[in-house]
Amino acid sequence: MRALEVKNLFFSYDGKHDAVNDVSFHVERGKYVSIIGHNGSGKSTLAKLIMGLLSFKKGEVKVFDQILTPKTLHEIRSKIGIVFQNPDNQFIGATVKDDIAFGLENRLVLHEDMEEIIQKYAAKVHMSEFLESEPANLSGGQKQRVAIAGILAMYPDLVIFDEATSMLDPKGKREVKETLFAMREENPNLTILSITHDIEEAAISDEVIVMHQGKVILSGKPLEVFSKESKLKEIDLDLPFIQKMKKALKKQDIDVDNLANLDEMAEFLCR
Amino acid sequence: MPIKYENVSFTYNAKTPFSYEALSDVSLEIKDGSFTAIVGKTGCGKSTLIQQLNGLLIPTSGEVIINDYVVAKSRKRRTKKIKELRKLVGIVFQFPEYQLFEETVEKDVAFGPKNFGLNNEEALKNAHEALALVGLDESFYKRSPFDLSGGERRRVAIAGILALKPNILVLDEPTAGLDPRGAREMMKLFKGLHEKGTTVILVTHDMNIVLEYSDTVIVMEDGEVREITTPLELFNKENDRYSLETPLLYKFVKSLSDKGMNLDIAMIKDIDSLASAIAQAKRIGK
Repeated sequence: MRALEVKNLFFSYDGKHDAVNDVSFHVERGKYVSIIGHNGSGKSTLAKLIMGLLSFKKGEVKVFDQILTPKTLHEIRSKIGIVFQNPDNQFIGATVKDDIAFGLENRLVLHEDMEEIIQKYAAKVHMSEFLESEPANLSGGQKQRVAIAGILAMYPDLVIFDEATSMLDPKGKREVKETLFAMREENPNLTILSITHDIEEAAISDEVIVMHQGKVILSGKPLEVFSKESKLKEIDLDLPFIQKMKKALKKQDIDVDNLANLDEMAEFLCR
Repeated sequence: MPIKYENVSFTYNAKTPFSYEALSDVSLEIKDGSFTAIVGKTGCGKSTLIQQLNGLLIPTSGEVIINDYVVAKSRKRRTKKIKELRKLVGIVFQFPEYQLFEETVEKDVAFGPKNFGLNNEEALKNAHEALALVGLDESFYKRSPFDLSGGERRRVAIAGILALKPNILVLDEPTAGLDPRGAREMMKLFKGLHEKGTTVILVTHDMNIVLEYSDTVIVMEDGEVREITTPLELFNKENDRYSLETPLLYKFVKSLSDKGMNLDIAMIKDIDSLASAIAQAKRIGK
């Protein structure tokens, strides 16, 4: 089953040039897909189109086989959780507890049930000790984890990370990424679409989509996408560490091109 | 002349119930012309440390000496020429783009030099040079800073400091929030300035940047200096103790060592040298 299907999508902010220009792709249920590309490549615009925060001028978006229209918007949104870039812009509650409760209140969850749900999801993102903390006392990474808890508490089928780690320090980045991986492990049916600048994150996702000037220019498994070096160089996109390592090892006549991750590579090299 | 911190302590809200000691008895020296990275967890005192450099914060005890300028609590010792010091030491704070305020880019960048007594023409000349350094051409001069992208705004803000031609450039997380290409270009700019003789002091959480650009690393923890070392030495040792994020390169080195590869650690400083170390280890292994 497809979690998401985008067909020939067009969008323009100014009516002159297309910020999203004939974009088509699909994401199978349970997959973890990264979208990479420079600022201005159309990545975040695409996320907003999928969420119905912007309306496209041409094309089609399907979420779990349901076509996105003004009528279905509400229902589709209830299936999607989105984590935005700026941790401060999405912290609504006065405390961590309030913040996780906000979404639940909107869903008319009973107050007596709420406590348990909040506890459960705060634990999942390792924020149990901070339930009474105010946002001013939290780090960026902690705030993003609270945002994730609030989203998970609403049982989404699809979670979109819109550069959710880009404003965080490396520790915050790692914490959020670890939370993401834990989410996947716990619920293999959860589909994740991560719009990211983190090339190393893209290198370990199931699939990568590379956007440039509003278009999808490459897509596939990380191994395939990152082997298209000249194409990536053309648009000045950095290679992940694994790809650079492969290149350097090749110069030493060690061929590890077919290995998909660093663990396999280390394993192979130490054989 | 090097920058010297002599037994510097700093307490926020001293003598109140909220009193908090952010720096405790810090002594260190930063060499002229060095590219020094300051690392450590959030809250370890990094930002407090750099704000002493141009007198934005005054040590609660001890003193900071920059060339002939002294920053100290004692009014007798403390330099009277704080303005000169602030011209010598340019500090770029985190997310400096939020500090832009003028109606045009060139006016914003020229604001600093004008404040330091240059006439309009000279200030604009400095501003234009600084804008060229950060890669913004003439077409940006008359634009409003608020119409620019985040990355461009950051460049304008940095140009505002560079227009003062500081000998010592202090940068607090200059690449935070930039996309990788933006970060790369930004670091290239600082590297260029460093090569022309500017002393660069960089506060960062990004160990990959530390590894690639700096020659000296100051590790801070709980308001104290734990170590002053080189990036290679820092990452070649077990550095979990400071909870720094290890660069991927060294994570991979560790994973190879754990799996039994006998690597010549001293050889490794980047990806290519790691590859040859691996090739060597494999040859010897056979």
